Order: sequence, then C-alpha cells, then structure tokens
Amino acid sequence: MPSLHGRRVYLRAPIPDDYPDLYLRETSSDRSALGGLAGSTPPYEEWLRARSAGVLCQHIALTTAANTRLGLVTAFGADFANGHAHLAALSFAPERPRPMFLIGLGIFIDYVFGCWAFHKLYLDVVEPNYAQFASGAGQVFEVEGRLKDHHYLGGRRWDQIILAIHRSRWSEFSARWLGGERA
Amino acid sequence: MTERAEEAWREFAAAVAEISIVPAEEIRRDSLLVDDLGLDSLALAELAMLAETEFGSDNLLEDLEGLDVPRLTAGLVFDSYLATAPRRV
Repeated sequence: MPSLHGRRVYLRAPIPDDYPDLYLRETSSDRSALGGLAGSTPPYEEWLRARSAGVLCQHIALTTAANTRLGLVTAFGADFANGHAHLAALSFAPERPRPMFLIGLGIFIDYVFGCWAFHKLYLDVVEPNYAQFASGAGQVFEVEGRLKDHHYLGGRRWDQIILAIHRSRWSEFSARWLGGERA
Repeated sequence: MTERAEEAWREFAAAVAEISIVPAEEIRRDSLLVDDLGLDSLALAELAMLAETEFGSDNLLEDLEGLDVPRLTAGLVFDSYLATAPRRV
C-alpha cells in the first residue's frame, strides 16, 4: 500500500474531533462562496451522514513539523467496473496559495492509484478555484468538460470545470514532482 | 553579483521559465512570482521541489506557508534560498 507519509506532509484519516471544524468550514460564508454547501446549513447529524455517503477514502493533510492541518482530500463515487472515481479537495486556507496542501493532494492521488486499479480520477472544480492549479493542464490533468454557469455563488454564476487525472500521466508527473517529498 | 552567482541566476531563471508563462530572458530579479510570472499554487510547489532537487535548498516549500506570496520576487527567492545553496546537479 502506498505510504501516506512524506517528509513534510502526511495524511491521516479524519477522527471525530475533526468533524465539528469541517462542519463549520463547509457552512461558513467564505467556504460556501467557493464550493462548500452554497449557503445551506443542514443539521450537524444530517451533514455527518451525508458527507460519508459514497466515500471511498478520505484523509486530513497535515504538516509533519507542526501538525498544522492543511486540508481534506476525499475519493468518492468509485466506479470499479469502468475504472474511475471522483476526488474532492478542501483547503483550510482557501484565501491564499498553499503549495503544501497540493503536495498532500499529490500523496493522496498516489495512494488512490496505488490501492485501486482506476485508470483515471475526476476532479470537479468551481471556476474561481481553478486558477490555483491551472498550470497543470496538459501535464498533470486534462480538462475534459465544462458545465457553463453551473454554480450560483457569491451573487454570480460560475462554470464547473471537470478535470481528469490519468494514471499513466500521473505516475510520470508524480515521480518528478513528489520525488523530493518521498526521499 | 559574482560570476558564479550570475551563472546560478541564469540557471534559476531558465528553470523558472519552464514552469512559468514568461521566457527566461524576461525574468528579472524584481519579477513577482504570482503577478508577473504567473505562478499558481501548483507551479509554486513545483518551484519549491525544483529548488530542492536541483539547487539543494530545503526550506522553500515550508516557508511558502508563512510568506506573503503575492509580494515574493524571483530575486528574493534566489537570494534567500538558492544563491548560497550547494548545487546537487
């Protein structure tokens, strides 16, 4: 099984103490503006049940040095017959660039490809979030779809962009990109 | 800059150009990583990994968590992390 530990970032499964904070983040106005619960505030117990539906695996990404929580990464909607699944990534500091969280996401993608024989993973991104990793188009992922005006957030409509991370391309990128983290 | 430092700067600019929207010859010391060179979070992580694997600097990735990234210039990164680091390649 692929390691969940890098030199500076590691992943662990969420524990009960994590969930109240996740609930507050996903129901806050800041988070809602970029793809959380879009303004709704379901009861905590209902939210807890709903967020585990269809989840294959999920981890909190933390820094090794200070155990600072960087974000949550999730694989869900697995289709084993056709060999694909969906990913979600929730940064705990969405207002600023967070390269270490992307390292955590990279470790997670390695993990998912290592544990299951998916040939590609989908990542649905709300348009304003895409700018954080648009440079990866064509080398890390392919843009396979765009749902026009799919989201209504912060008083305007945004596209949803569907990215696909292919196993073959990922392994090549991962070796180069995560090499220093795995050393 | 000394001749060695100038050579290191040229190598650094060439490496940055590979992950940037700007060609190496247009990368200046006062170029802002985000606004001028177009580096997003993924490219910043790649820059930190590159600094580590090719230039022998270990701290950039962790420091990016606390730095005011929009104000970071190529020259500041070079001076703080790369100019004196032992080369690994």
